[in-house]
This record gives sequence, structure tokens and C-alpha cells, in this order.
Amino acid sequence: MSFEFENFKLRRLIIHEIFQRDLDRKAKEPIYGNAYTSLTQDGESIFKERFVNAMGSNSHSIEMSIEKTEENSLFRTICDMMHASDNVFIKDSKHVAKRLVEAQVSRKIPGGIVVIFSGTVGRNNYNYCGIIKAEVHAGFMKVFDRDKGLAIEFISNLLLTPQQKLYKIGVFICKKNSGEEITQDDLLAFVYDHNMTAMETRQVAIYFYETFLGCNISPTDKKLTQDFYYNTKRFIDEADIDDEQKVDLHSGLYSYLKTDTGGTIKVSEFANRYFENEELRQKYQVFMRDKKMPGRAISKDLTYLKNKLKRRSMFFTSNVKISGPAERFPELVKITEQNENQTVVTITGKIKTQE
Amino acid sequence: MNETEFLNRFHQDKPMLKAWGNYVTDMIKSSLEMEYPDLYSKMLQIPPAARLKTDDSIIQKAFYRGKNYEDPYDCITDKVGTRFVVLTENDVSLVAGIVEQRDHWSYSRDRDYEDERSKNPLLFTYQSIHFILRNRENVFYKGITIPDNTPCEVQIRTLLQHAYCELSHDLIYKPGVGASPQVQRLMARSMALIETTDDMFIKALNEMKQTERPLGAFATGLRSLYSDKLGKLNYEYKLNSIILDSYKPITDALDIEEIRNFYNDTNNEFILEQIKEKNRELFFRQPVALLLYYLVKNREYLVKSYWPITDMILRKIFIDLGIAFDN
Repeated sequence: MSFEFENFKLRRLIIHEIFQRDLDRKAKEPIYGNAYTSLTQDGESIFKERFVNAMGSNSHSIEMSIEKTEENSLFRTICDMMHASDNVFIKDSKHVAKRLVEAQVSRKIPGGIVVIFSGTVGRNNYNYCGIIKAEVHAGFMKVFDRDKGLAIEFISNLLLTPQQKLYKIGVFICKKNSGEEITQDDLLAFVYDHNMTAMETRQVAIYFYETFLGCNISPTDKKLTQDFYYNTKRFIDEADIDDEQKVDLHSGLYSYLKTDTGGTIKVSEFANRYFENEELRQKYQVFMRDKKMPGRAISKDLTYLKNKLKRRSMFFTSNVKISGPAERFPELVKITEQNENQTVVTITGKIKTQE
Repeated sequence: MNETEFLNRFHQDKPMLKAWGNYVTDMIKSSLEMEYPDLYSKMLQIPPAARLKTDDSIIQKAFYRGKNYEDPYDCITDKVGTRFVVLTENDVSLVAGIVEQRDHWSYSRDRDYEDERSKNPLLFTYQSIHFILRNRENVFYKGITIPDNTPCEVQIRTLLQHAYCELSHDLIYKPGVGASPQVQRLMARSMALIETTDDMFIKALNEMKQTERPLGAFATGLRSLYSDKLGKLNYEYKLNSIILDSYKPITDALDIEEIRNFYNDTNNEFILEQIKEKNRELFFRQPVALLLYYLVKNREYLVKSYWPITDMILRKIFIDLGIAFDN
């Protein structure tokens, strides 16, 4: 079963500020926080909400594989931080902020606040260590003025609002609770970065997940994409809905995987986009969970489905089969009428060859 | 014993009497809360507090009321007192029952309006229950020793009876000061009305209770699951009903045992912890909280579509269970 971000508890939180590179592209020294920030109960609850909305089940976060584990890698620092004393954690967190500055080589990448936090998560209370890079934006605050009554006040340094595009999160979870040495296999890595959700912006995300975090798209995502296709197909075939709806859903599955430009796929996203009602969505979700499909996003990788998605076919009870190029299938093959015994199909084109 | 001697002794005893009054007040309050957890929060209309008699009034009572006490100091049993003002006569009986059940003291009923009504059926006057409690043994409370047999007066009355007392105190109840027949008549009429109103309140409450449908097997099951797993709850009938009614299409096909098994699973123990942590919030002290966590974990789509009230609570449950709410 995939890891669930339930039972999230926050223990330590510290922030540092990093800056965009100068015109000469030299890195600027961060401004470091030297002590932990303690949030009010409400503040902590909103922080938890932001985190789970970005990382939890149904979110766009992606499980990654950890690639860089050598001596000076971020991985080593994170391992150190999992069981570090308060002082060591603060020192290490500064090191982490510094590494992010180094990874941001392009002048296009903005500065922001680096939030480094730790605590426990999951039913087994695993230790985690998380890093948020939050861009600062502007907004307004309601104020009450004795003379004027209600008014608004400008704020130039807002962060961690519900606007998810403005932050990236990396989190490492340690499955080993004892203080023994942590290996690569003991850590899970998850990343949320809005830029990863669309194919064309993937490149922009690399500095964060690869250069900085030392992670990469997990090789299992090829397999998961394939599983997603076959399981969803099976669900549609077996669902208690009429055939017309099934045809639409098969077309939907094809376009979700093949023509949609999204860089990730997600059970809840497919459900919300293509199923008509809550009952069906619910059944689909339970079905996919039983098939061990993760609730969060999977990086879309069609390697194993290339051939499968080239052509679409339809089989009739009379053993007649129609097949055609998948991307134009709905437009080339139109079903206009259907009952128990016959189907009226209009096919664009005329007979070329026969066997 | 002259006035000066009397007052000296009274002043000397004051801290001890006050301690005894506080002890009695706290003991009754905590017993009520324990015995009637569902009702307690709404029962007491005025916060009860131990009060000492003022010097003037105790001297008047001892020497100027024509009572001819043999030993005025010991004969005055309301040197310290405490008062429980409740909403209905039903609640009066509940508080009185608590006073009678405790072993910490012996008690006598000094006044009882039920008795007085049957003795003087035509009289409409001051109504209140007065107990005199005396500790059976020395009591050591907050650093003060209270010798055995120290009296404390406990008054129990409804809010309307209290209103009557407050108004009439200076007019009628204290003998020796004559109120005009018109005033007496008006007060008697108001008491007759109060007695009638108190009676109607009870009837109205009983009517209300009858319209509350009895809890179904499912709701009862949830309730006992909550007490088993989390202990004390304060059951809000309305809140539970609104939610249970909304989820009826789901719960009709759901066996309460399935929910019980879910919470018996050690993997889900953290959920109980999360509920406990939120017990400042009313919703999380209700049995339906258990249903909601179960449903979100198993049928999150349907939960969202049937949820009847503001998203705030549901959002917290999603987040606790690691499920993004806004996507």
C-alpha cells in the first residue's frame, strides 16, 4: 500500500530567506533564522492543511526515487536531521537552505522563504523532514480602525496561502524509527511542484527535485501508468452502466493518457473529469485502491503503453470487430443507434481492402 | 452570650465556615457533573457560591427576632449557605437527590415546598428547598479543619422561585415588617403564577422529548462505541441527527459492527487520538465523529456530497487522514 500522509504532527519549524542571483549570476548569501518558530494552534492547523492539500492522497505530489546518496548529497544531511538534536537540526537546516541557493543557478528562479520542518506522520509515527520553498507574494489584510471602521492594509510578504503555484515541497519520510544508520531504502521521498504537473513545464522543475533534492522520477511510474490504464479499463468494462457511456469512458481514458498534456495522472482527477456521478466515482476509487493504485499523482510515463494506445478496437457480440487509429477514433467511428441485436455505426472512409 | 461575644466567635469561625461552604458547593457540583454529564452544562442558572451571613443579619436573627434561642450561636444553622438555582422543578429534584445521596454529611430538610403545599394548599408564598447539612466527621479542606457537626444551609430553587425570593425578601418573608395587604396579595398571585409556569415548563419539556425520535440502533451503537473508545461525551441530539439523517442512504447499508472493527484495528488508533485532541470542539465530542472518520477513510466522495453543514469540520477530518481536501 502506498504511504498515506495521515496523522501529521509538526514538531520543529525554522525558516531562512534566499534570494535571486545577481546580474553576474553569483549566489547571494541567505539570511538565516536562528531559532525555531512556534505557531499558534490555528497557525499549526493551517500549516498542516497546506501540507496535506499539497502532498496527501488526491494531491498532485509524486513519489520520487532518491538518486544521489554520495558523501555530500542532500540525502546525507536529511538522514542526519531525522534524529538530530535541536541545535544540530538548526545547523543542518542552514546547510539545506544554502544548497537550494546553489541549485538555483538560473537568474529566472526567484528567491523566497525556505521552511524546514520535521515531526512525525503516518499511523506508525514515522519521522519526516520537509522543505518548502515558498515564494513571497503580496496581498491585503482587513484591519479595524477606530476612526474609519473597516479598512484594508497592504501586505508585501505573504506566504503559504492556498495558492499552491507559489510553493514547492520536498519531504523525506524515514521508515526506521530507531536511531540506527539510515540507508537509501529506509527513506521515502515525495515532491510537490506545480511545474511537474504539466509536460511542458517539467524542465523548469528539475532544479528543485533533481539538482537540489537529488531525486528523480521513479522508474516504477512506467509500471503504475500501465496499471492505471488496465485497471481503469477493467473497471469501465465491468461497471453497471450502459454501453454508450462505456464507449465515452474508453475514449476518455485514451485522451486522458494520450492527448492530455498533463505530466501526471491521478485516480481522483480521472474520476472527477470523466465519471458522471458521485456513486460511480466512489466505486472507481475503491476499485483502484483495492488494486493498490496510489491516491496521489503518478508521473505519466507511457513507455509500456505506446503500442496499446495506437489503435482502439470495438468488439461486437456477433464477433465483428472494428479497429482504428486511437486518436481519431471517436471522430471516425460514430455509433448512432444501438439495441440488443444491432448497432448502427457510421464509419468515415470507404472500404480499401478486404481479407 | 452577648452581642460582642457572639460576633467575636463568628469572626473567628468565618474562614472555617467559608471553607465548609465551599466544600459542600464543590462536592454537589462535581457529583452533579458526574451523575448527569449530558444535563450538567445547562443545569445551573447562577453559579453557586458559598456565602456567609452578614454581621448585621446574624445579630438581628440571634437577638432581635424574638426567637429566644437558648444557645443562639449553635441554633443558627445558616451561618454559611450555598444556593443552587436551576431551570425546572425536575432539576430541583435532581439536585436534592444528590444532596441526600452523599455520605459526607447528614442532612435535614429545613423547608420543603412540596410538604408546605400539601400542608397549606391555599397558600401561595415563598418556595424553596432548604437542607441543613452537617459533616459526620472532621473535614480537612484546603488547609482548614472543619470540626464535625458544622451546619451549612443548601437552598435549591427554580429560576422563577428565585425571582420571587429576590423581590419578596424585604417585603414579606422577614416577619416584623408589615407589608400592605395589596402587596401581599400581589405577591401571592405572582407565586401562584410561578407555580403554574414551572409546571407548564415541565410539560413543555416532556412534550419536546416525545417528539425527539428514539435513537435508532445505528445511533445507539455509535454512542456506545464512543463511550467505549473515548469515554465521556456530551450528546447533542440535534447535531447528531442532522448528520445521521444526511448519511442515511449510506448508513442504511452499513453495519455498526463494521465501524467497531475499524476502530478495533490498531492501525486506526491514531484516529482516536486525533479525536481526543480536538475535544475542545463540540463536534468531536459527538458519536458521529467516529462515523465521519470512518466514512472519509472509506468513501470520501460520498462523504463530501452528503455533508450537511459547513466544510470546516469535514476539512479537518480529511487533513487528519492525509487526504487533500481542496483538489
